[in-house]
Amino acid sequence: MNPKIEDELRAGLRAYTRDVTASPVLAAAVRRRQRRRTRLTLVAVPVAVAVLLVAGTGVLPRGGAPGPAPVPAAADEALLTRPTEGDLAGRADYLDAMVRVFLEGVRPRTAFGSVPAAPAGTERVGEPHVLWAGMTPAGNPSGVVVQKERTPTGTVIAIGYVGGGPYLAAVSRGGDLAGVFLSGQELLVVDRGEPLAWSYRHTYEPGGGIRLIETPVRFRDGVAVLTVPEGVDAGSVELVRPGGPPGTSRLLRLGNDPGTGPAGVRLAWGGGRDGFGESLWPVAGADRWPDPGPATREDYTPRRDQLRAAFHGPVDALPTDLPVTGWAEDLWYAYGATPDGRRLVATDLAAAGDPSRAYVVLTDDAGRSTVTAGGPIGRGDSVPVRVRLPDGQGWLVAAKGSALSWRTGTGPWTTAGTDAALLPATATEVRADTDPATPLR
Amino acid sequence: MRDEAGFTSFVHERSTGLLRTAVLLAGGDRGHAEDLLQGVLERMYAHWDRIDGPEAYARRALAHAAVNRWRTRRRRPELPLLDPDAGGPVPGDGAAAVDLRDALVRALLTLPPRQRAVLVLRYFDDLPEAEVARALGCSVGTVKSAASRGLATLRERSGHLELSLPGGTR
Repeated sequence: MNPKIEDELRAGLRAYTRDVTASPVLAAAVRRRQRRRTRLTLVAVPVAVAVLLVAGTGVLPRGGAPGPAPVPAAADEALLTRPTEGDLAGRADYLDAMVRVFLEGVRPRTAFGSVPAAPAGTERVGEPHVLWAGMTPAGNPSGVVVQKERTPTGTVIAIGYVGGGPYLAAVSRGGDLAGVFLSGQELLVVDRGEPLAWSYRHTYEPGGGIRLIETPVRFRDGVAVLTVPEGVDAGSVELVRPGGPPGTSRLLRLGNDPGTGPAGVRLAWGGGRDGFGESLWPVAGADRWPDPGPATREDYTPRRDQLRAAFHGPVDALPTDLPVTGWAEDLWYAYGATPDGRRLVATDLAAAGDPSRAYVVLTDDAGRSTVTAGGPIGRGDSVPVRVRLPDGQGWLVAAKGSALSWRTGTGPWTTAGTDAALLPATATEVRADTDPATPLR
Repeated sequence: MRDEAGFTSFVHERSTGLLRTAVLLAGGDRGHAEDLLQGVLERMYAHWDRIDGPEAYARRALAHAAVNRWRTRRRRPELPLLDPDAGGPVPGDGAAAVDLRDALVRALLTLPPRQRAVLVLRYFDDLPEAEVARALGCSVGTVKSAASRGLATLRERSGHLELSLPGGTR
């Protein structure tokens, strides 16, 4: 077998599908259609069912929900009369070529994906105008073409981003794209009158949320060409409104996106009998699960969906610029209760291509939750999960398949269970089976 | 009571990834891929609280539906994004690696549905062979042989490009 073919196939399939995005209203469409189908079954009334999947609507931000338009679309009217700028603005033949590429939607034959077409019934209003024509830092002659369009739902300004070749990299309509990748390493952003920042690095907050490290976008001649540094995955580049409270809604849409960002690595600690499913590990106080309720409850083993809801609800609500949650099949959950009676549930999550971190959610009987995150998990660690809980509630530790024990100082070792355990706050060392001790700090 | 938030969260977070898989399983036919995914999600919504491992379930259901759909339809998939009959790469119009990947994808989209599904699940979704077998309702041995045959076909159809890669593999 030729491993090179496999690698190239992987890369090819990812590139081929990079512009494929599902509609942001898919869940609602499924729900509505399913409910309507149920109703139809009951009353046998033929009703046309609308399918709301949207094809080729461009690229959604990697944060998930569609980002807002950077500025009101009406403000783009001013782009139509802005003088052509850029170091190639004086080249009439080049300007003509860019207009042709824009109008014909020229794509390189070796490119994957397609530029979404204008909505059916769209008519051009006036002539295309070249807003910018210039050479990028990487030496690609590029440009921006704007065109007023009348669509069945109103008038929009289309912004065509032309890359080296030349070819049409993407078209933004109504300000739905804040920037477009001309290549894997260059992002072209049009100055639409709003301050923007970009980022390809981030830091973790103590509670586990992520903050982007932002750099202001500096426009020149009406555009900015941002060069992704060598060694940086272009999929990790984000364009945002600067400042403000953290939130994934700050992420703005990018066109011709080279990828979905690097994938993080998680602890592969799931593994039901079928290879999927989850591992559910009770630790101290596990009889607090499910949450205290009817006295008639007989089964105190929580269902995975209860743990999932208890965990992902608070984690999803974290103030964070990049999502730190996600679905995967290899999940594990440790659950139990802290000495002060709060329910505990934990697993590890990988965000933004980073090594995963353990996240612990504590919830009191009033439903108030706090999230605590551990540091980056080392793949080779004997006890990979070691999280100090807040308010002196001890340490959550976990190592799949291992007998865990702990001690304080040079005292005797105390066994603490298998897979996961809740250790007292005074513990200073933990070990898995007979491995060397791991300090808790 | 149905976990509405859980379903919504799942669809928001995973639907794009699943749609990408569906597009490949459907041979590049975006419309059919959307139909496949919508059908699978409707079934999942109806039984949401009883589904363990929703992503695995969805991928299994997509693969099953895609293979059986195409077995039933007996038609060539539409290729809205790439034309498999198009000529070779344009000289100087892209790096050799891009040309090779392009050729591999073109070739994959023309494979028989079941063979294509094996390669998509194995090399796009990175599922282990056992899970590919489970998704397609066949043995691990069948998966191995289908993957081997599929890769051989891709290699054969892209051979002239592979030679042009820097540090070529042959």
